[in-house]
Amino acid sequence: MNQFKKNVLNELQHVKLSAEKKQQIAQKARSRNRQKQNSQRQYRIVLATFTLLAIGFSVLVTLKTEHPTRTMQGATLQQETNRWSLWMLLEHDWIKGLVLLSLFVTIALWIKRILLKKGYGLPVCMACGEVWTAKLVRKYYWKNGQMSCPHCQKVHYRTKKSVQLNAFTNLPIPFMVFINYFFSNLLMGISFYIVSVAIYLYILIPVVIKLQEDDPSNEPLW
Amino acid sequence: MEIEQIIAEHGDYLLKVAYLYVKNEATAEDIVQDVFIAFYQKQQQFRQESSLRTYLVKMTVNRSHDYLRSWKSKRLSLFEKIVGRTTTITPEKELLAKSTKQELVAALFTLSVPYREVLILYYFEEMTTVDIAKLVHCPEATIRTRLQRARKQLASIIGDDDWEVLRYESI
Repeated sequence: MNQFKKNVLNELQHVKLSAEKKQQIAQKARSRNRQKQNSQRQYRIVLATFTLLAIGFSVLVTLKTEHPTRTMQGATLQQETNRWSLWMLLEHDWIKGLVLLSLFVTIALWIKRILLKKGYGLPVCMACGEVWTAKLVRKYYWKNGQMSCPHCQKVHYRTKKSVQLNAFTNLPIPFMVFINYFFSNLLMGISFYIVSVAIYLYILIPVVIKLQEDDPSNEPLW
Repeated sequence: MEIEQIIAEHGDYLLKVAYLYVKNEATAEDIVQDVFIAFYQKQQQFRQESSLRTYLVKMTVNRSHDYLRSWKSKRLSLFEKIVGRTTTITPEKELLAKSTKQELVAALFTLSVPYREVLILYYFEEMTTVDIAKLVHCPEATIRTRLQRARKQLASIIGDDDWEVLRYESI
C-alpha cells in the first residue's frame, strides 16, 4: 500500500457505514428484487384490462351500427344514429361495469405505486430477512392478531400505521349503496362492484402490511 | 456469497471511494446502496473475470459520474459557489473532521473532478493508467497528462514539505 493511500484511509476513518445502514441496504436489495418480479405481473393485469375494455367497446360499437341497417325504422332513427357519440355507450350496463372495473384497477395500481415509492412493499421478516409471499400476506390480512414467519416462526405484529392504512383501503366498500343510481340492472351492478373491489383488494393487500416485533394491542390506535 | 457478507466486506471501502468523488457522505451512502441493489439484481451478469471488489468499484465510479453529471449535483455546487459553504456540514461532522487530520482529503476536494479522479484511481485504487483509460473512456496519454497536472496542483496546495509522498513516484 502506498503512502498516499495510507494517508487518505487514515483521514477517512470516520467515513463508514453503520451496522444498521448495512442491514437496511441488504433488506432494500431483497425487497427491490421482489418488486421487479411483481412489475411484470402488474403490466399483464393492465394489458388484460385494457384488452377487455377495447373488445367490449368494439363489440358495442358494431352492435350499434348494425342495428339500424337491419331494422330500418325511418328517418328519425337514422338521424339519431348520425348523432351518435361515445357517451351513448355509457347507457349500457356492461360498459358501465367495465368502466367501473378499469377505474378500480387503475386506482389500485396508482395507490400501490405511491405506497411502493413510500417504502411499503411485501413484508420482510425482522429475524431472518426473508420476504413473505403475497399469498401468505393475503391470508394473514384477514387476521388482526399475531403472524408468524413461515421461515423462522418468529411472531410479528402489524404496525399501527399499517392498520390505519388498512382502514383507508377498505373505504370504497360502503359506496356500494350508490350503485342503484348508476346501473339499471342492480344485480349486474352489484356483481361488477364486488368483482372490482375484490380485484382492488387483491392488488393492494400485499403492500399495506408492515411488521413490528412488539405487540401493539395495548397502544391506542389513533 | 450472501449479500450481507459482501456489504460487510466491501461497503466501507466503496463508501470511501464514492465520498472522494462526491464530497458528501449522505450522497455517497445513497450511491453505495444503489450499487449493492444493482449488484444483487444483476449478480449473474458478473463474469468473475476480475475480483469482486474491482467490479463493485467500477460500478461505484460509474454511479458517482452519473451523480456528478446530474442536475441535482450541479445545482448544489452552484449554490455552494454562491454561498461559499456546503449545505451538508453539520456541527457534529465539523467536530469529527477537526479531530482527525484532514489535509490530504481537503486538498483533494479542491481539485476538479478529472484531476481528483485520476489521483483516486491511480493512488487509492492502485489501478494502472491503462485500466483508468479504459474505465474513463479516455486515451491513455490524457490520463498520464492529467495525473501529472493533478500531482502538480496537489503539491502546490499542500506545500512542498508534505509532498514527499508522491514526488518521487513515477507514473
